[in-house]
Amino acid sequence: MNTSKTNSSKLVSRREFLRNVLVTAGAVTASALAGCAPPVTPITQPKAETPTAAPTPKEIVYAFHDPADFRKRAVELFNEKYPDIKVTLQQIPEEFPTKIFTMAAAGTLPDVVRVWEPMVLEFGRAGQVIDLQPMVDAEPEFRPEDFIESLWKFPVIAGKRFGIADGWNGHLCFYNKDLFDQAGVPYPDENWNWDDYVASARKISRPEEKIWGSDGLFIGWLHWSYKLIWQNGGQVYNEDYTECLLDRPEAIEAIQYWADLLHEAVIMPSPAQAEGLGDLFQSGRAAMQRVGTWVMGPLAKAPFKWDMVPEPKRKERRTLLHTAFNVIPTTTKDKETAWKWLNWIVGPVGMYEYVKENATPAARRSVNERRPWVREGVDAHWDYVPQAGEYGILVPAPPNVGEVEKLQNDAIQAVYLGKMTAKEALTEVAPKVTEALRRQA
Amino acid sequence: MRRQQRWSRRRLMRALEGYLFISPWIVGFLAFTAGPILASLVLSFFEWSLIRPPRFAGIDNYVKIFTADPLFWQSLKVTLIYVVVAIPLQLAFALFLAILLNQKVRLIPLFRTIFYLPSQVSAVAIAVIFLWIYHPELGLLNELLRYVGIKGPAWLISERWALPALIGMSLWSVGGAMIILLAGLQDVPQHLYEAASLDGAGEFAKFRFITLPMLSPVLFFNLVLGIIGGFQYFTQAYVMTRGGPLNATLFYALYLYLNAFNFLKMGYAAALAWILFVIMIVVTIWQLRLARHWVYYEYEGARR
Repeated sequence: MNTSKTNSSKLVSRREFLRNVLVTAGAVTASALAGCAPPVTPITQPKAETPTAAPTPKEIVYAFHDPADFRKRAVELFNEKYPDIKVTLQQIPEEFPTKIFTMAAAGTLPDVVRVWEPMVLEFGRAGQVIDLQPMVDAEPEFRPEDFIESLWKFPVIAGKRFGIADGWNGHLCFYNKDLFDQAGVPYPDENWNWDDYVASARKISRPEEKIWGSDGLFIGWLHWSYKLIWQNGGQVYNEDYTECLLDRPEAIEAIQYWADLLHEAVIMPSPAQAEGLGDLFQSGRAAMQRVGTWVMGPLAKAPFKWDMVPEPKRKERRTLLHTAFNVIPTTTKDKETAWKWLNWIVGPVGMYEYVKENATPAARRSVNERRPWVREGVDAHWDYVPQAGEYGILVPAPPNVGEVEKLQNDAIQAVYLGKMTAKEALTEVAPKVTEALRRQA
Repeated sequence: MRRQQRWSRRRLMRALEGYLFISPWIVGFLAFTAGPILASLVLSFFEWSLIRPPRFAGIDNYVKIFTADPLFWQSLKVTLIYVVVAIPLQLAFALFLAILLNQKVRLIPLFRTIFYLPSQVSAVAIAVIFLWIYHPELGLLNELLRYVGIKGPAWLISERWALPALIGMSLWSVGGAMIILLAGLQDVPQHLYEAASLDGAGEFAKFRFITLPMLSPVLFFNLVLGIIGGFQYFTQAYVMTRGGPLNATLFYALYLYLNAFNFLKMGYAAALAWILFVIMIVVTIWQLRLARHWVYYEYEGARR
């Protein structure tokens, strides 16, 4: 914009002034509007083998969802090895996926992010995160064979590795020994099946006293129901997420089996009965609860004796696993430094720091030899905790995950709430899910 | 005043000066309000999942919404039920309270404060309190119902009762409308009532033939705002039910949010937003048309 005048001795006339101001305002507005347009994120795979020299001092930002305090020690330990790298921790406790996806849209993702199971593959499919395999291959001490297989294989599409897991949680069956003793019921062993579970629960249940043999079903938690389907030999999706298999007999039978028990409301409370009683197992009202091992923290202080056992099976021993994957976004400028941090947190020292604080098993078997999940002073079958990693299945990560899970959640809830049979609901929803899976995201 | 045929240069300059003075607002409006509104209109013709480049989709989003999305119709149904049932109820309840608070009783300022307070509490806080009031086993409401021998439903976890529960809860925060109606009531000239009394009108007749017509502009104002607010109902459903059970409280704005941030369908959500906008405009214009038949403005009498 040209505002200079030839005879500059004169003051700018009012007209000139107005014109210039209006032009400026127009330009500002136009540029502001341009800023509102959806940004197009560049999708380029970086060349891992030719890292560019980074400016010093090196700084990276690490974003995650869970608490940040104990990670400060991890950063200190990391700095003993790499004193010249400054790691800034960024905890995002609320609306984590939403915020991360929004950052991705704006091209402002942190340098290393710890994302959840569906996110790692969504990001991988969309080219938002880099392939870490070349970096893994270049590290002589990495030893991929140290990792639990299912966790190692999960974040890979067509040979490209999009993330690396650190700690994990599996589901087990926790049981209240006092309630078993009172009813004179023998404790479960690892070879039990669904019918054994139900028979034990029937002997313990006293619904009129608000004591139940089993905790209720987690009706709003879709993944919780997946393990029931797996335990009956069924699948939710085919191998490459192009088809939904919920309309197969194994899935239908599994959901109906437990829905019937919920409607009967003898071995477990109905949703209305359970509402507001809090955690039935923790409060000593339910003798058994099938849930992730994160409950061991609160249970360590429980006023009753408890133990754990693998979940009962019908046809196959299966359970649900949860983990998170550390990824490097394509937008990260200094990928070499980002990899140094990522490699350290999924290495033996960094991973132990993480799982020790969370009391969970680790993705590396060598770290699990130190048994970080054991709570001092609690006598329980602690070996069942890491074993779940060998037969468990991770939370699936289909395309269009939000939409396909909403469809399934509505269908399975309709069965649990007695509106439809499992056959009706699941045969109706499976084709819809398949359609949503195949829709180009 | 006679309209000027042509603007003189001088007047033009004056006008420009005016615009210049309000230019900070104009720039802000264009950049942060009008710009995003236009951007969302453009976006509604695209498919955009946040993590991939936007793809032009023509009118696909709109076609899908109307032809292949049962949840769109469900969310529209839930929202319309709320607007048709809750808004008139709120208005009636606010009027009822305003009339009570217009009585000449001792301590009336205190009562006015107390009844107005709930509308100043944040929606999320009220939602959390009502989660407990509606609790099937331990809730205050079912406890009261037990006293009179009724077994209360499971409210928020019952497909049939969740929406009525939210509608009932909305009566808790009618304080804003109540205050405006109270001001309206105090504006009604006393001589009208006196004249009616001389003609032998009873209390009901006075209410029907004086209070309501004189209040009608205020009622109309609250009705229009209430309907617009009703279409945008989100917070309580998001906090308390997340649209459940079985989509019984899937309000339109909540479904829009799910599409944007759970399904990552930004274009689709933008299309939903524009459809809602059109619905609200149509309903508001219809309200303005209807208003001619029941809203009474004092100065109209002079014009007829």
